[in-house]
Amino acid sequence: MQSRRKFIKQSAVFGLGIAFIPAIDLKAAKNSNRLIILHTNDFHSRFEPFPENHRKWPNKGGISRLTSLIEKVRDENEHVLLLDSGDVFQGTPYFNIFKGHPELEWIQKMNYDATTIGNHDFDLGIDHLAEIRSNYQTPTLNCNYKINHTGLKDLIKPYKIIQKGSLKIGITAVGIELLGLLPPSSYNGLTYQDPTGELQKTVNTLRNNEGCDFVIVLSHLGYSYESNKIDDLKLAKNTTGIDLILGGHTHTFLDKPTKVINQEGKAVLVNQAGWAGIELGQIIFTY
Amino acid sequence: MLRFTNWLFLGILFLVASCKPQLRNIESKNFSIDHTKQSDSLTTEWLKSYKDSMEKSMNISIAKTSIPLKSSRAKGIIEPEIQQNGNLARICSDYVLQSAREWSRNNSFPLPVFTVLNHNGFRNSISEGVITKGNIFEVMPFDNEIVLVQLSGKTVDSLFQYISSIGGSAVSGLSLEIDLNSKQYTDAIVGVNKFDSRQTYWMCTSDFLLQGGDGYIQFANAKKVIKTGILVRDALLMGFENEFQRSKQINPQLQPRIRYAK
Repeated sequence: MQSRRKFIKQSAVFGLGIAFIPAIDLKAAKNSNRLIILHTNDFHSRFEPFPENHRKWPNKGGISRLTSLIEKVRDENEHVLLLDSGDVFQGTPYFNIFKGHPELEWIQKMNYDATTIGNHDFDLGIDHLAEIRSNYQTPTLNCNYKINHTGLKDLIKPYKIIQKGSLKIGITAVGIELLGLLPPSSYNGLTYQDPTGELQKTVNTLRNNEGCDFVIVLSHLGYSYESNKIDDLKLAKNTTGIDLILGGHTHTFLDKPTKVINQEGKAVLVNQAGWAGIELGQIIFTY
Repeated sequence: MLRFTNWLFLGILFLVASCKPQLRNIESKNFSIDHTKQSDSLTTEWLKSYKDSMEKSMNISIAKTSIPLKSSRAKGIIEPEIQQNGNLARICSDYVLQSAREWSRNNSFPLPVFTVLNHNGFRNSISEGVITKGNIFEVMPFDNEIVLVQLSGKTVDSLFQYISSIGGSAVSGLSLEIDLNSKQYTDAIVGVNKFDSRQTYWMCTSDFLLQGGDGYIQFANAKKVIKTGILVRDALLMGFENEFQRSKQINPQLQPRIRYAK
C-alpha cells in the first residue's frame, strides 16, 4: 500500500515535469530534411535465405532480415519510401504451391508505398494476376501497358503522388515488352506501348499538372542492353523531368547508382538492387 | 538605385524560391542482406505456416550428386565458358529427350531425335549433396510442357543458325560446331547422322519455345506439333529419380554438345 502511494506520488511529480517541457515533435528530430528511398526488385518468391552451400549466394537474403532492416530505417527516419520494381512471383516452390499469396501478403504487411509488375507476375496468366491482386491493397503502377480490356483495369494506376514533408513526390512505372517472354495467352488483352513516349507524357503530367517536386520511375525494362532494346539507361537519357529510376528484370548489382544526363542536361540516377532480396536498395536525398 | 517596389519584388521572388525544396546531397548504399542483419521474429512466425506446408511436399529427397550441377542461365549471348561448364543444362535436356521418347514409344508417335531448350529456362544450380523435389522446382519453376515438333530441314537449319548466333543452347541428341566469329554453325550431327537439310526431323522442345519464347521464332514454321501433356519439371523429377535408383549417383555427360570451331 505504502509503495503504491509512493509510486502514484512519483508519477504525479514526473507528469508535472513533462507538462512544463515545451512540446517537441518527436519525428522532427528524426532527420526530417532527408528522404530515404528503400527499394527491392525481382524478389522471385525468395522468402528464406539461399542455403548455406549455395554456389553464388550462400545464406543471402530472407524476408525476416529484410523486414527488421526496413523497420529499423523507418524507426530512425521520418521520410521513408519503400518501392518495388516487379517480379515478386516465381522462383521457389512457395509460388508453385501458394500461387503468389504469401508474396503479396508480405508486401502488404510491409506497407510498400508503390510497386509495379514484371513479366513473371504474369506467369499464371493475366486473369490470375488480376484476381490475386484484387485481394490486396498495395498500390500498383504502370503507364505503358494498355489494360482497359483486362481484369487489371481498376487495379493498376498510371501514377501516384506522395507528400513527404515539403516534398511532393510523383511515382510512376514502366513495364517490359512481354512478347517472347511469355506466351501471348498469358497477357491476353494487354497492349504494350512504347515506354519512352508514354513515360514522358506521364512525367509531364506529374511535373506540370500535379506540380511534383520529385519524380521516381519504377522500371521493369532492365538496366542496359547492347542492342537498341529500350533499357533504364536509354530511358533516363532520352527523357526529361525524371530524378530517379529504380529498375529490375536484369538482376543487376550496382556498387552505386548510375548517373545519366537527360535531354535537358540534368542528372538522373538509375539504381537496381540485384534480386531475390540479396540486397535492399537505398538512396538518401537531403534537402 | 533600386526602388522599394523592386526590392519588394526581389524579396517575394526569394521567398517563393526558398519554398521549393532544394536538393543538397545524395548518398546511396544498397544494404547486403546477410547473416549480420537481425531477423524479425514476427515475420519468421508468419512465414512458418507457409513454410511447414511447403516443406512437407518439397523436402523429399529424390537423388544425390557428388558434384555441383551448374546452371548456365544467361540472357542474350551465351559465353563459351558458361555453355561448356553448364552440366545442369546437359543433364536436364537428356531427361527431357528420354521422357519425350518414352511417351512417343508408348503412344506410337515418331520418336524425337533431338531436343533444344533455352539455357535461361533452368533457373537455379543444384549444390552437391541431396537433391530434393524442391530443388527441381527451383531449377524449373515454370509449368512448361514438352511438345513434339516436326520441322523441315530448312527450319532446322534456321534453328541451328539462331543457336549459333546466341552462342549455344541446352541440347541433347545434337552436336553443333559453332564459329564464334561468323556466328554460323560449321558442323551439325543430329542423332548419329550428319544433318541433312533435305530431310524432315522430329524433335522436342517446351511449349514456351514453341510459342517463340527467348527469341526461338523458328518454331512458328513447325509442320506438325503434338502436345505430350508432360511438364518439363516432371520429366526432370523422373529423370533424376530413375538415374539415381539405377546408378546410385547422378552422372552428367561431360562431353559438350556445342563445340567451337578453332
